[in-house]
Amino acid sequence: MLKSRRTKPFHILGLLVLVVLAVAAVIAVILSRQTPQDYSWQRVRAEGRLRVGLDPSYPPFEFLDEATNELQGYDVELALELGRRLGVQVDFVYIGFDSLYDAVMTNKIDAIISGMPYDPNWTEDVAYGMWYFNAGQFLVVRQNETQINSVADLASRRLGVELGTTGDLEARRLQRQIAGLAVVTFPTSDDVLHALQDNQLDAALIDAISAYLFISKGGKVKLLHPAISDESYAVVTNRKSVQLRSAIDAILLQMKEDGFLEKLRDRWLLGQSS
Amino acid sequence: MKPLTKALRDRRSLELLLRATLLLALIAVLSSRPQPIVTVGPTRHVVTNNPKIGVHTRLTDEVEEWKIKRTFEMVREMGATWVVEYFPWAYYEPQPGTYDWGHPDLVVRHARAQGLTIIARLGLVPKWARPKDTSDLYLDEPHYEDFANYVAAFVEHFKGQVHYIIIWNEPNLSLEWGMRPVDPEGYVKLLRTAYVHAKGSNPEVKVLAGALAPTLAPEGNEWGMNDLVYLERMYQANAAPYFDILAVHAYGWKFPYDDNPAADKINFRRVELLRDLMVAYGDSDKPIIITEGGWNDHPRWTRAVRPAERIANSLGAYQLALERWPWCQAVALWAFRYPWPARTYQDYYTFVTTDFVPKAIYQHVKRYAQGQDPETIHAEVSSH
Repeated sequence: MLKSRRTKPFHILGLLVLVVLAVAAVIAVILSRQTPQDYSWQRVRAEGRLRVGLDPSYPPFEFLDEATNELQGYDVELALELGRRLGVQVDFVYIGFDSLYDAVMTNKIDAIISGMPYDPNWTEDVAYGMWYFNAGQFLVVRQNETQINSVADLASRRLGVELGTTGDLEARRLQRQIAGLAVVTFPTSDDVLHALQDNQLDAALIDAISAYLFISKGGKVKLLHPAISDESYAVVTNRKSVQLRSAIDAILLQMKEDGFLEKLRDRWLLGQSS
Repeated sequence: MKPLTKALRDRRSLELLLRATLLLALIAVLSSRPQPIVTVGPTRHVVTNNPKIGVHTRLTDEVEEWKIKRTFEMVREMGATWVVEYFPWAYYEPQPGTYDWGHPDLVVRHARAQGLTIIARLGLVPKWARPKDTSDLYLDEPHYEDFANYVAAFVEHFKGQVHYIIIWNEPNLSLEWGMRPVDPEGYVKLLRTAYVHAKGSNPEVKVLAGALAPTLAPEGNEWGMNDLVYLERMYQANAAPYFDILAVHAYGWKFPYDDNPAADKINFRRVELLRDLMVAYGDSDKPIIITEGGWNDHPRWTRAVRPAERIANSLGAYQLALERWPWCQAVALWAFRYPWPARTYQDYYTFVTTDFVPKAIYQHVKRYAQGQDPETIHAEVSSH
C-alpha cells in the first residue's frame, strides 16, 4: 500500500510525458509531410521569368550560331516551349558545364537544361526531373539488317565501337558474355559507322547522338531499341524546388505524349523540318 | 554434508583444468597481434621500353592499404617508372616538431616495392603556421623556416628511399600562393630556405623547383603570372643555385603533342620555351621533369579531346621526351587514379577508374611500354 501511494504521482507524471511526446511526434509527422516552401517556384511565378542555365558549346543541343551569334539547339527550343507552357519568360544564363550544378545549388539559376545526363553521384546535391532524351549507347545496324535484332544475336559477330568511350567499355563487358563476339575499335564514332555501312562490321555500339547525326547526313543505318546503356538527359533543379520540378515534369510528360519531344529529335538530330 | 567421492573430485579437477586451459588459450589469441591483411611483398622491377614514362598518383587521401598497393602494382604493370605523389606538410606535422610518418611510410614502402621512383611534392600549410582565416596554401616569410624544417625532416626520414622532392606547387597562381598576388622573388626565398635545409639532411637529394602552371595570364593579372615571365623573374632573383631540376606542368589541351611551341599558346611543347630560358640563363646542364600534364577526354569540356586523340597524344608525348628531349628526365602525366570521383571533367584525366578498371589509355600505354611500335599504335588510334 505504501509503495503504491509513493509511485502514483510518478505514474501520472510519466503518463503526461508520454502524452506530450506522442502529440509532438504527431505534429512532427504532419509537418514533415507538408510540402516545403519552394521559393524558386514562388519567384518564377511572381516575376514571370524562368532562369535556365546552359553551356552553349554542345551542338546540336545548345550552341551559338556562327553567323548570327544566336543561341540555338534542341535544349533551347525545349526551354522556350517549357516557358511558354508555364506561362513565363525564359532567361538563358551561359555557364561552363562544370559550374552548372553549383549555379543551381546556389539558386543563381532555376533549372539546368543543357544536355545534362542523370548522374547518381549528384543526387544528394541536386534533383533530376523526368528525362527527355536518352543519349546512351545503342546497338546500330545497317538499314537492311534483319538477322541482328538485339545483343542476343551478336555471337560470332564483329561489333565496332569508338575507342575509349562508354560503348567500348560496354562492348568489352558483352564480349565476356557472348561467345565469339569480336570488338573492333575505331578512333571516332563516324569511323565506326562508316565501317558498318561498308560491311566491315556486323553492328556498332554507339551513342544515340552520333548515330542520329550520321543518319541525318544520309547514313544507311538504324538504331535498335531499347538502349544498351542509358545516358538520360534531364532538367536539373535545386533539391528544394519541389513545386517547380513538379510543374516542369508535368509539362515534359505532356511533351512526350503530344509528340513535341519527338519533333525536337527529328528537327535537331535527324535534320528533318517539322 | 556427504563427503565427495574421489571420482567426483577428480572429475571436478579435470573440468577446472580444462576451463583454465581454454581461458589461457583465449587470452593468448586475443593478445596476439593480428596478421597484416596486405603485405608489401618482394621487390619488383619495372619492365618498360621507355624509362621516362611516369604518372602522378593521388594517394594522399587513400586510406585502405590494398588500394595503395594495387595502384602501384598497376602503375608498374603499365610500364611507368616514375610516380609523383603529394606529401602535405599540414597532414604530417600537425604540431610544430611532431611528425606522423605512418601514411607516407606506407605509400613509400609500397611504391619502392614495385620498383618505382618517387618524386615527392611538398606543400600545404598547417594551421599553426599561418594566420587565422587564411588559405592552407598561405605561407608568409616568417614561417619559411618552419616549412624548411618539415622539408628537412621529410628528407631525413626518407633518406635512401625518396631521392626527389618538389618545393611547392604552381607558385605562379594566386590560388596556390595563398590567394595573394604571386611573388617570384618571394618564392625564390622560400626555395632557397627549403633547399639549404634539404641538403643539410641529405646532400644527395634532388630539389625540384617551380612546377609552374602553364598560363597566358596578362601582366598584372590578379589570378596568376605567365609561367615564362615567372621563370625569368626567378632567375633574376638568383634562383639557379637553389634547385637541381625544374619541375614543369605540360598540358596539351586541344593541341596535338607535336604542335609547335609559341609564347602565346598553351600546348605540350611549351616546355621547350622554359628550357630555352634555362639555357639563356646558363642553366643548360640542369634537367627538367614534367610532374603533371597530359590530355583530357571529357565529352563536354571545351579543352578536351576524343579518347583516341588523348591516347595518340600521350604516347606521342612519352616518345617525344625519349627521342628528342635528352634534358627531360621523366614525363609524369596527370593522373593515374582518383580515390573517389571528382564529379567533374577532372575524372577524364585518369588512367584507371576509382574501382581500378583500366581505361583504354592504360591499355595502350602498356602496349607501348611493352615494345609495340608507337607508329603502329598511332595509326590504329588516328582517324582514317
